[in-house]
Amino acid sequence: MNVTTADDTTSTGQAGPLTGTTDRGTWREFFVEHAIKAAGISMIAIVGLIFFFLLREGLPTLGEVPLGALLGTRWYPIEELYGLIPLVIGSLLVTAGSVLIAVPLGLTTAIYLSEIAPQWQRDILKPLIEVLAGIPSIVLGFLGWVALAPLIQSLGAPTGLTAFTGSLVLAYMALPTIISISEDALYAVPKEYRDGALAIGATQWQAIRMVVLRAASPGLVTAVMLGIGRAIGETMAVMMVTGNAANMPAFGPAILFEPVRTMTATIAAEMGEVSQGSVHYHTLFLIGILLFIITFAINSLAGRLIGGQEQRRKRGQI
Amino acid sequence: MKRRFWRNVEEKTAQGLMLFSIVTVLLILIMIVSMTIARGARVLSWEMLTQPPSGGFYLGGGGGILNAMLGSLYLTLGGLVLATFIALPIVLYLHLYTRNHRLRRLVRLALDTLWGIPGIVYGAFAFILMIAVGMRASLLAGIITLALVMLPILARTFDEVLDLVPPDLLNAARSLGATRLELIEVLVRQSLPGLVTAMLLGMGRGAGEAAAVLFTAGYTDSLPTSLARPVASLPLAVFFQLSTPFPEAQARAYAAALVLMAVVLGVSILARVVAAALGRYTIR
Repeated sequence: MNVTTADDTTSTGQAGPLTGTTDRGTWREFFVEHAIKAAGISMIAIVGLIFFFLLREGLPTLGEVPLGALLGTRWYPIEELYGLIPLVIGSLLVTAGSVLIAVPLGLTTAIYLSEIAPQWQRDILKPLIEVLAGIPSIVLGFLGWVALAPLIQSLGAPTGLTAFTGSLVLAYMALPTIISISEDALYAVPKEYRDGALAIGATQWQAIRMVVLRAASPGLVTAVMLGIGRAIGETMAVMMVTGNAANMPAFGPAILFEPVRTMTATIAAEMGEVSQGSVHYHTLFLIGILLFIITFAINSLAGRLIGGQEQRRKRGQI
Repeated sequence: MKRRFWRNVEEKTAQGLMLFSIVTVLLILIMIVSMTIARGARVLSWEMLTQPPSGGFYLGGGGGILNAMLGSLYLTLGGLVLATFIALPIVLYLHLYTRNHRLRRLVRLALDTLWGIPGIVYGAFAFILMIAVGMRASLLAGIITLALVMLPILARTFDEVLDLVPPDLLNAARSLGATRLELIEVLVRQSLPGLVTAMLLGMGRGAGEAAAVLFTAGYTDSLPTSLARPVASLPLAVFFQLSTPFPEAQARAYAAALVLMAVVLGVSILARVVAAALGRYTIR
């Protein structure tokens, strides 16, 4: 790595030249220095390695299964049917359902916390939300199975293990992410903005709706995206409560109340039993690649939005 | 007059909606915690916490979840140690060792990418590696996979923690002729509460991770004995034993869920206490 020479010229004037003259273990200095540099670079290597191995195991599928078959509507590996569409739709349905529940609930909660709640309430509520973030997803899946599914079945669905059950579990998983990031974004809006709006006669809600929410919108979108990112990658909890049926759901008003199976659950359910190097095996890794790409896209988009907001704030536009 | 009326309606509706949201979120939180406790407390006993299952794999019989508790403990601690040893140098690199902005951005991008990767993809990746080196599902493989899962969590939180260190402190050390190794000491000592908190939070996430250890650590009814053998874990104990038709095995799932939640929430509370306690020794 040829970065060292360029790095050492720092504006703050480090004590580089002194290193050799002190008698305190220069070899230690040398060792730590290089270990740390190696660690920094290793970060990039790990990502590269993950992507490389996924590609190596997943890409052969494209040669083994025609694209038309991959876009088929039946996932039935025993009969060599590798249609990914039901799995993708399963993931989309469950995630979309969770977004529909978690976003309104999360945003209004964040607005309350940041704009309305008095300090003593914030002091209690914010740690509580953080505790919520710590509940393991498998516990949520467990409760989805023992409590939510029977409830949904008793409401008239043929089975309690449906896309909707998964959505509820995921919604609650995504909530803390959405709440805490959007609360940060709202909190970062300067107080003068609210004062200005109130001074020209806006009510509190009007000030929030017309000024605060708009100023914080990039942060809010980021919060939602990161929430989606968490939801789409969840595996075991979803596997427990969505019924795990890799069928095309029948499109209609009750589409959310049918059993589905997500992309993540498919890998988890089948990877252990598949023979290595088979078409089925490669296809499972292709699903892994898809997941990698989807989450990468969501996260980098979210990161770009956060970056954009920070830059605008620095330029004094926010 | 009319306008003021509608303004009022809008204001009240918005406030009502917000109150509704916060109450809903809290109610569900209370329900989750209390239901897990209620279900778990019924089956919790001394035997449950101190013995491995004595029946068959999915079958009923006596015994408890000690195998999963110990397995989770080893997996999480091992993963945490490994992840810390990688994550700390990475953030020190970002903060002290490079002025190369493009490289720094690249490392941060790599961290963000790792952050978003689902646990199951980590599991699949580790599975390939295991096959490549001829390893089977084992404690060691589970530890490595969990370290991968925790790595971005730790590194990103460490990064934020070190950002909070006042630059004057570092500059003062530099002006006294400190080497970079000595700067590390200053940096770590100043941010220790944050670092410990981050480690505890990462530990909580790691303990609850189920998908990543599914193929890598495996599952077993016996107590963990060696790095090369599979181990059970609490999340997988919940997952596997809940779906059996035998009430005795299901009881173990209930107990495992309760223990897992108690441990994770306990660690999260501990993290806050530790942060407050250690915070007294930092320079502000």
